Amino acid sequence: MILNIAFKEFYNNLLTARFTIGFIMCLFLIPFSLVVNLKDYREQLKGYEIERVKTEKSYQVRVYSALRPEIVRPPEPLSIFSKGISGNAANKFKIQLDSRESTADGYETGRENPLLMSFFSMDFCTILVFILSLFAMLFTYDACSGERESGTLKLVFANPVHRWKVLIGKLIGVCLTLLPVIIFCFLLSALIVLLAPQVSFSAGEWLRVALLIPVSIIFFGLFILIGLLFSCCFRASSVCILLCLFVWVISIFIIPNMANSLAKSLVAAPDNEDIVTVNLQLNREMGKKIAEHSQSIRKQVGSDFFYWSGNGGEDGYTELAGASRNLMDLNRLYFEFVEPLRIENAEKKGVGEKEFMDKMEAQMKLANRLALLSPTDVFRQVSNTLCRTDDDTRRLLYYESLMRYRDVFIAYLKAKNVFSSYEYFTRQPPETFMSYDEIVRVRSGGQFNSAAEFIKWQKEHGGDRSPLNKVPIPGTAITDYPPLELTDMPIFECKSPSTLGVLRQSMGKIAGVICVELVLFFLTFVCFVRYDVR
Amino acid sequence: MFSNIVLREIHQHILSFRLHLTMILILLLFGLGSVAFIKGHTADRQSYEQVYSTNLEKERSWAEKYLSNYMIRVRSLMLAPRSDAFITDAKEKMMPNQFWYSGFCVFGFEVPNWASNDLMESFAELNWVYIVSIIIGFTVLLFSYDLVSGDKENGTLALTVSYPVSRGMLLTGKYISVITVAMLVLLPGIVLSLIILLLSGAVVFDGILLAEIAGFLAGTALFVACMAALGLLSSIITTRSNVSLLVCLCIWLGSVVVVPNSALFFTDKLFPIKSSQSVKERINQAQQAVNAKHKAIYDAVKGSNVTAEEHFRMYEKQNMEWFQAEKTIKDSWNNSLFYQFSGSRRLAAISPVSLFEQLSEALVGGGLVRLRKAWSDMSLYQSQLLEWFKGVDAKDPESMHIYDPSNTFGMTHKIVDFAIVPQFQERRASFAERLDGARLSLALLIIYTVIAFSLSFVLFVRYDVR
Repeated sequence: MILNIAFKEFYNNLLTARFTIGFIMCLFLIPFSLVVNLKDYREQLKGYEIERVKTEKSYQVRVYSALRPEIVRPPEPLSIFSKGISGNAANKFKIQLDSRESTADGYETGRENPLLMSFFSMDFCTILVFILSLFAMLFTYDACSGERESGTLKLVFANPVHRWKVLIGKLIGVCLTLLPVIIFCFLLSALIVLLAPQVSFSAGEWLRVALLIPVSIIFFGLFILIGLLFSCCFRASSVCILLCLFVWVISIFIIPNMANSLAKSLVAAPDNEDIVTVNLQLNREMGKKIAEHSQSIRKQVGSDFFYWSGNGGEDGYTELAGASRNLMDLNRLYFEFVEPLRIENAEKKGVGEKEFMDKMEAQMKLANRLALLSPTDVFRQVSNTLCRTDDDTRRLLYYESLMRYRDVFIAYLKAKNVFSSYEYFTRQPPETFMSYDEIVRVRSGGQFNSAAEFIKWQKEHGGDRSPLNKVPIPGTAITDYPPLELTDMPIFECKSPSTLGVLRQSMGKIAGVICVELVLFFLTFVCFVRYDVR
Repeated sequence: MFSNIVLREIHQHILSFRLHLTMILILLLFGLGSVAFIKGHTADRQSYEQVYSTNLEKERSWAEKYLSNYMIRVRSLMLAPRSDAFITDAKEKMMPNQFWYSGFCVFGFEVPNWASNDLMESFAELNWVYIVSIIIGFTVLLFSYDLVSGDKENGTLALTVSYPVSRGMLLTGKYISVITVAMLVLLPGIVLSLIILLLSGAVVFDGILLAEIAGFLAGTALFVACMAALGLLSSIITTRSNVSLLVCLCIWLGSVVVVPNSALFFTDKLFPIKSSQSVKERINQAQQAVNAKHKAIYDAVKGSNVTAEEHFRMYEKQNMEWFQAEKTIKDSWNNSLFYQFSGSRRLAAISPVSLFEQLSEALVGGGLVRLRKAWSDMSLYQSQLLEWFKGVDAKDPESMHIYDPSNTFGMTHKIVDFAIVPQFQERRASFAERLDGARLSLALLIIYTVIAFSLSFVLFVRYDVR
């Protein structure tokens, strides 16, 4: 009997104008939303490939002071379905000694034209939730009140059928109508992804897409129940549709925006300027210590600053070859003191930076929590989690993977004792180091006997260095040495949440929705049983 | 008779459930929106002032070293948060509002990345225009979807038409009553919002702001008229009120969600721009060409006796050309950015909601109007600053008067009081400029309204009331 009623409802729904219009809308909008995101994703993928090649070069170094691993994160394939914050997050990182924050310029995730940032674009999950939630309520708002108005409800109840059977029959009928639409939407999107060039999903990714189907069915159940409840509570179908539409508009357009606005005003945004000032102060203090130390070691070792070939750069990168023994010793003593100091300083700076991020996160968490009032926003959050474009994924990448890797990398450097070894800045074996005098003597082929003589000559000849080119010394150019063998170096592993992990994370929200559904069902049931058919 | 019809309709609407529901919602939204605005605006203002004073201190220290040092330094300038953003923020937080310039060149603009929380998805603020375009637009459709079809269904239409009143008058009466009711629903919300803003003292109410509010109300009336005409049309085309509702929902969904969000889909194809990568490469090539050209000049004079002053002149020429090479390419690229942006906005003009947003944005002088004005004012300011500097420099007998954009050798090394150095002041767009920006959206909104209403007029005159 229940099935009979369900099929009757199903056929009734199938023939209505709302079904046709809704179906046509899905047919148009879903390919539309996917195509825009697919294009974005393909461009990101292209950028990623270019960056990846660049990062491989970061391991092709000759000295340890140049070894600062670069890591580039591939774009998340499922951002095609639900964009989340994947477009805002940094995608390239450089491990540095003097900063825990290590974002580098990666590939473009935003838009080429900065003016276009003010346009929003919709993804598959947004469209799905927009249209199908509206759909769900449009099919249920007159399930009871509409039949009462047309008088058929009396006839139905006159039959020897329990009221609850009628209710469940109606519910199944609406589900039967919506289910094919949801499945159709997903099949269409899967087809588009399959046909798209350069985009291929792994089995795990398909699994997560498949997981989106039951999740969306659960969410649409919620809207069906809301519609049914209104329909059973009120006598006029025009009031029901009004309430349904208001619930819909509020949950889509009002609550999320209100939650964001309120969160922004309740949790004060941290000030970036403050961190800049604090970090500047810390750097200045460190600079003072370093300057003192440099002076003392210069007194200790002496300074003649001669090197034949060298290079330098950010974050302590120094590479020397053919330098005088004094300069080599000076550098060794310098780095032995400075590098641990800079690591320590990074920790100090990290405290403020962490606080900053914590505040940002508190703001975001409050916004998300306030937005839980809106069922559509809960769906957005769950789909972001399933598509790994939410904040938890970012945290996992940033704190669990990246910061841990930085610690492991620094531990690796410390274990090899590189800061106090010559290998940190030169590949020349220490036994081949020469003093300035010796270098001048050998290089000039005996023209000068000491550095002092050469310097005097150089002053008279306008800084000319050419006499030193006479006799080359092998192994005194930085390019004479091959890149370091880094077989024992720790390798970065990006931890991204597993399918089970994302499911577990969203379980709480899904369970909450199911609980609300049960309550709504109970209420609907009570209202329907007591419904006055006159 | 006409006023009778209008009053009866209004009376009916006022007693309806939908009006009460909307009223509560509107009051809630305007109240919460204003509170959120005040909090957000105060915080924005504070951080803006902090950035501004830090920048000013930095510039002062440059100028106090010597004036030409101040001229060649590259600095940034941020636009202040608008205090009338409670009407519409025009998504300015997502738009570029930081300029890079020196005394010799305006380099470009960018979106400051600290302005938003990266952990949150971007969202529209709850300002007046948002509330009106979403809630009022929706309500107007809800009020008008059953104006004709609903009356027909419950049989009152036949009775009404049987009165000795022309059908046109009947329709106009219904139409005007919907507009009046929508404005009546809106007014308490606006009054509440204004009271909150007045009490908080976060916003200074001056003549311009009052004019802007009046302009906003006029724009809202036009928007409401447009939506009501669309609802009326759908109610006449369809014979049953629930189909009419469906059509209205589609219109609304299309104009609020689909059209504004899909402009990007067509943008790349209809208004293509060069990629920023290729622009960078072109600038690089042009600059290398300049360097090569000047290297040849240096090589030619090498060995001959050239005075320091002549050297400086050569540097100046090279650096000037180097800057110019970048500037010409960058300027045309920036122009193409603006072209693409306004093109995409024009695409969204199919939707009355987008039109209303663009109209109010132009009326408050925000968004694109503001950015464009600030951008051209910036260039003007830079050239004025340079002229002023040349005037100061001319008075210095020790200076060689060589205006090199990246070296201070040939310029005055005198110290000038920072207070007399001209500073950039953002000027609000004038009334004419705002109207100019609003022209297209205003015209289109009026055209849509007139078309929709005259269509419904014609159809209603021929309407079969049975």
